[in-house]
Amino acid sequence: MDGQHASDRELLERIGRGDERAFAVVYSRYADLVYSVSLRVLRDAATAQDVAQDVFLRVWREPWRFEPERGKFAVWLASVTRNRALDMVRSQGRRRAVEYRPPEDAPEPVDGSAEDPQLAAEVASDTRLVRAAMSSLPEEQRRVVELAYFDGLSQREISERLQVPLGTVKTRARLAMQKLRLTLAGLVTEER
Amino acid sequence: MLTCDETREALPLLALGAVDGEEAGELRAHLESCAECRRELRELEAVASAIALTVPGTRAPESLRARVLTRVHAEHGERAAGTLAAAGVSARVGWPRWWSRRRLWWATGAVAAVVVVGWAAFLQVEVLRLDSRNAWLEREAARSREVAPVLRMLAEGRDVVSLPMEKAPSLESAAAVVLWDPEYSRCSLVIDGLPPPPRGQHYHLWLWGPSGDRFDGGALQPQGGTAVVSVDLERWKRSDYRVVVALEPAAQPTPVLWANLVTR
Ligand SMILES: [Zn+2]
Repeated sequence: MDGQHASDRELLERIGRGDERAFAVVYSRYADLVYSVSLRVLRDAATAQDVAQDVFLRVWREPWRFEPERGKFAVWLASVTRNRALDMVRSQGRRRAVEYRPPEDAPEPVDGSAEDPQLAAEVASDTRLVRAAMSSLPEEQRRVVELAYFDGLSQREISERLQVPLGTVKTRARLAMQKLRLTLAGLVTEER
Repeated sequence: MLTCDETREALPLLALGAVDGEEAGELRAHLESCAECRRELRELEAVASAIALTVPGTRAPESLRARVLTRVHAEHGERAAGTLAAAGVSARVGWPRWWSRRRLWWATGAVAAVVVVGWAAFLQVEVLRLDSRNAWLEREAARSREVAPVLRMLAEGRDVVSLPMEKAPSLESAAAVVLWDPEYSRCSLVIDGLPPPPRGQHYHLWLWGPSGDRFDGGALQPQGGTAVVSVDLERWKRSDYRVVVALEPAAQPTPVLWANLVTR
């Protein structure tokens, strides 16, 4: 009844009927993920919170935007957050010259919600899978992917940043995506 | 027009969002006429979206939770109260037979003592957190004293109805709300900005049944203008009743704050 163990899909249906409690459960489940993605893109805690709030309000107002047949809610939510955060970067006209480095005093890493061990384990295992897939990429390919995906750089900007020809950027991106696709095939199509 | 091979070369970067300008236009033109390449792009986009999970995990600040839930509640709150009044609530509420007045007061007092400290601290923190970062926050800050306790109950995952109390003109400046959890047959009064009572009087809590029956909830003991009282309504036999705060002693006790709880 309290919704702690309800599936994401169930909770989204309840949110569609105006159930604030279901929303609170979804918030608890995914606040860390949404905030982490937002912070990774924006690198500023205040703006990252603004974007995270926008993302959650969008879930509250338009829960039907998530289409279960197209993958897992966590993946959808994380990618919506990334898109929204990049929009914010662009609207601010900010383009950071400094490349991302995890902060040295980074808070304890978290893997999903502590409130639902089963869900936490599931999100954690998805996360581990994707991280493993990413870290198995050669450094040069991984950087191309990250500069494009998290930093919102265009292929031309990436080529300038890395001082390699545009053709090389394309090749690295292609090889990286091929490998990720093989590793992540199950994750991006299964639904919770 | 690009060939399929040329398009395929560029799709990974397109999926990662790194293609813009003229080249993106050319790719879109090909994609519009080629279902195969469209399918390829969709798959690559699905892979790209999973990359978001690789971020280093960081705990979201607690204040973010308050911001988001406050906003959601503000958008939804009035509708919830309206729905409740219109639809009624299928809850059994009432006092346990074995509860003497003394026992009730002891229990509510004990609960209230804990709750007052916790909620008062929470209220202050909320007000501090809801600083004027943007327009809606300023609006919410004005309301936050009222909204914060609701948040807290929501945060505990409870299904809480929040009913603003009606106010006599003398208490216009107070914020008063009944938080009602029909499922647990519990209601809490949260009153803030309560002016000191006139000399010789105190604020007193009552539950009024429809046929003149009364339950004495005891004297309110505000701390710094804030009073929080938690009342267990288990097995109340009335179909509806009124939560009343009146100034006493008085020849004719007149409600200064009241709210009607309707069950069905
Ligand atoms: Zn094609």
